[in-house]
Amino acid sequence: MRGPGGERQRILDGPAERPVVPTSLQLEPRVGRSLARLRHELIDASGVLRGILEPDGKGLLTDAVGLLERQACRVAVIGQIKAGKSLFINALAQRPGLLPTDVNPWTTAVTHLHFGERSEHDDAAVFRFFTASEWEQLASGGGKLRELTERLVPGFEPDQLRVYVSALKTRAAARLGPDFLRLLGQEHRFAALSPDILAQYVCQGDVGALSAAQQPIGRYSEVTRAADLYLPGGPFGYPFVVIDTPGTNDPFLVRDEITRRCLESADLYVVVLTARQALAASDVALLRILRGLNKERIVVFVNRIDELPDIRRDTDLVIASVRQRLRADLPGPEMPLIAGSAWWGYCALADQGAGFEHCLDSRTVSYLQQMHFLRRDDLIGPAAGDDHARANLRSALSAASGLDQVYDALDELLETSHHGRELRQMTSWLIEMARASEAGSREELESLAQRERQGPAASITQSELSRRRAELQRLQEVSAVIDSSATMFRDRQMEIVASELKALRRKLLRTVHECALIERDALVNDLMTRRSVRTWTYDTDPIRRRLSYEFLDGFRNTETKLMALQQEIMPQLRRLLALLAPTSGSTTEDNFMQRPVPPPVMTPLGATTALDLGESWWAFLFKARPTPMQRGRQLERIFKLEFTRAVDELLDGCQQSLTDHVVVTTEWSFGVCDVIARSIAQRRTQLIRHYETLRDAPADPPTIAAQQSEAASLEERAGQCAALIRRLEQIAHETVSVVPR
Amino acid sequence: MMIEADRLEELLADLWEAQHKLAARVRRVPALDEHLDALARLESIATARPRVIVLGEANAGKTSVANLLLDAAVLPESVVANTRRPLVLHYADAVGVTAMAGHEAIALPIDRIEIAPRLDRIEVGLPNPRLGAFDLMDTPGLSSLTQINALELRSTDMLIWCTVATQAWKESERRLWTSIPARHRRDALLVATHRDALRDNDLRKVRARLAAETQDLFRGIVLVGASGSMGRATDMQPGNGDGELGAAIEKGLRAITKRRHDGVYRVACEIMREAVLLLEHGPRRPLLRLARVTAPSMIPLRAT
Repeated sequence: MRGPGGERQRILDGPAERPVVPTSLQLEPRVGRSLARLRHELIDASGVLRGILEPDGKGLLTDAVGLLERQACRVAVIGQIKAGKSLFINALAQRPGLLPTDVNPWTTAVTHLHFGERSEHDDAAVFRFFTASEWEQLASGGGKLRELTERLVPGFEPDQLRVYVSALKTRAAARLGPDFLRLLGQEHRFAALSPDILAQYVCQGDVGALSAAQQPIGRYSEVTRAADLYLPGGPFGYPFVVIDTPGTNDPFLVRDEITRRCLESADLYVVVLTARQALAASDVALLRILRGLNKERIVVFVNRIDELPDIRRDTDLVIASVRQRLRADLPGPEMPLIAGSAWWGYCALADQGAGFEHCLDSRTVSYLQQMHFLRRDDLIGPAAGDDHARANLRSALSAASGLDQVYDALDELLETSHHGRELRQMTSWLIEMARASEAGSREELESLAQRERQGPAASITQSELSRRRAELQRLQEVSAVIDSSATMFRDRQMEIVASELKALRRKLLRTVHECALIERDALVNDLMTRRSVRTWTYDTDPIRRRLSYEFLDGFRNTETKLMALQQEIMPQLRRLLALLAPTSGSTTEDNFMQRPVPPPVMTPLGATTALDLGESWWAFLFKARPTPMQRGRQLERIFKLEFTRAVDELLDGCQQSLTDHVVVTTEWSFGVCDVIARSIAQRRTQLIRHYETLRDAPADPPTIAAQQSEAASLEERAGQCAALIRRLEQIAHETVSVVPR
Repeated sequence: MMIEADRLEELLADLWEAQHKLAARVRRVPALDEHLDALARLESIATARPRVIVLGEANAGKTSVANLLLDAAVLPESVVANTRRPLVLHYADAVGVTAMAGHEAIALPIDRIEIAPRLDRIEVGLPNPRLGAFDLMDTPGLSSLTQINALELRSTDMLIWCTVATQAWKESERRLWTSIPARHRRDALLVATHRDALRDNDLRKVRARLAAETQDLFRGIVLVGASGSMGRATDMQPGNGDGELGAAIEKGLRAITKRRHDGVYRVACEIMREAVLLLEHGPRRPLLRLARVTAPSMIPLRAT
């Protein structure tokens, strides 16, 4: 358990040692410092290497730099509606008042906060409106849901959707005038960001005061699809994109679906729960979907402990109960579980005067004292306006807010995430290239020295030249081998992907078929025994769970096979490299060039299906089918249709991402060898040409000075490479030691 | 809280008179026994005690609301899921606990409630004056549709759906609630708990949203400040929604009772009319499916 507390306590030991500004207010980055350093070094090293390497290798390095520069860690903050996500983000970003917060759910827009990442045109904020077709879909009845119901039962219009959709249209027209449709597809850009601007786009505004078309708050909220805000790094050392989602479990189904759609694209997830109703059934369902994505990338934050009656005791109770339920429902490695209060974090950051006195009710104060965040005499100062005492109070609130633990957890997850692994892998690639380049230079130096020993003109004997030519021939052969092995490697991986996924698809479809029959029989049975079944609804959770377990099983199999193939190929690659540059590959770690398989995207399994629609839908569906058997068959049909579609979508996505993975893996692992081979070949070709010129025009033998300068440049190149290798190895060593394998 | 006592007296008097008249016939017609039984069952329906059932998702403040209704911190409240099985509280002169396993009742010592194995329900008699007008049922947090069927709702039940004011009315709640048959929801109340966590302006906003999003699903919406603090019954001051909740429940119970009495009266008339026909014209195909008059689920009962 990570409750708030622990080390912070020591700050309170002596007044002299207390920082005047709370730790979390200091502007040094809190998350991703070591990866940021690694990334920076890699970009640097790529630049150096690009200067050294032969032209053939430069393309790959340019790609690498581009990849590194575009990298940003995406953190989605998700949770049920009104779990306090926006306030949490404000506190996490250390920017109180950044995102508007309201007591009612407020927006359909997904907000991306880019920290330490510049926008295309250097804008501070970009708001994108729905496109005409998106709006049409939305306004004609909630996109996919409408499509679902239409496809299965033409003519049925879910009341729920109709109510929301007509409200949406009315509001948009009231706020923007009748010609609001021309806004669709546009975007608004701002060079500077202010709360007023933000409020126009992402706030719901006062639903009661719609007539005031001139009221700016929420003016564009109905038509805004996404907001991108560009901010300085703040607590994020590494480029971060924090995604604020509208929230799950929203009766406004459209918003719910928008939230689900942005789950796929994130690297890390912070699931925000409220302490009062921590880990409701729908939270468990959400976590199940996420765990499918990859459990090691989730942080669970139990927010709003400030609302608990007896904060200390109840927090322990809540955490223990959440931990227990997580263990029971989601067995496996544990996720970081942090209790805290974004409100306290906010109060600690809020401007002087406004803010933190509100926090100081008796429950909070006694909690802060119990946890030793605050001493009794700390409470006298703030009332008297004592700056030092206020700072202590801020520090106490900040420590109790749990945000420090969130930073630490994010930092740790970032290290072990895809980003961390990619960066480390790129490090070993760069080291390999530098090694090969160094070895090549040394070899040339060696031959230069030899020539010098033998005297200038005599050195270029016919046998030397033919030896060089043979060497070049061999290099070209090796290149060809690399090419053909790469093709073979890719094809074998593709075969694995295709055959494994085919089997998996068959298995999942069989499960769908089986379950459909079971559900049909259950319904028929129910209808036969209970005389008047007027209402009927269906719980899709069990089938989703079963499918996701089976899918993950199959996915892990595929992953294992792909990794096994990589393992098999690695020694061969290593031998190839050794052929090219004898010193290369001697000290690299075992997982050299091994590329992790990206985690699967499981969202198709979480999408709303027709089976999830309410009572009235089923009543409508069953109205025309009086006999139990007919109803049973109808259920079977819909069940198969919906889940076959989900399985197809799931596997198509999976196939796509694995194919991409295979292509990139092949390109990179063999690409590195290829670059090395080509660059050595190129040097050799140059060398041979040089020898040929010397042979053909012996009248002008190279001067001592020219030879010396050539030797010096080779020496310098080898030295640069060696230095680069040392630096990269040092960094690789430092970052690896942080990460538990 | 008195529920139309005069009308009930009147109704009962009518029923007794009807039974008396049928029983006093000199010529004994065997088919009439069925009618007599039905009238007797109607009597028990007319006098059945209403139940107030507190429903909601886990930790929605159901037990707090039950305590609020009892005007005393009778039941233990907790910040984690705490109520494990339905608990029915009814009036008794002395405290007594009965555990129900199926239809079997087991008397329990009061301190051993939680260790009793495999119980469906616990019934507690309490000398609490608030229980004069209704029985009160506190339930475990709902999370799946199957749990709703297990509740065995009756037509005499008044349902209260609890939701936390700061995160009120989520899709999962809407789904659970709408899966309850509409006839049980006619007089239901939506109670938003922990309203003290909201400021005045926010209270108004939440109320407006709830009203807009739950149209036709509830008879009324009440925000209460069931403090959520364990054992601090003193927090329930006037203005915490206590009075408003009491009044709303009284109104709901009155509507339920009135409908039940009307139903009893209507069915009794049908029975008498049929009995008269039977006496005048001899046994024929019965006009009424008397077997369906079973206590106390009588709302679906209609003359066919």
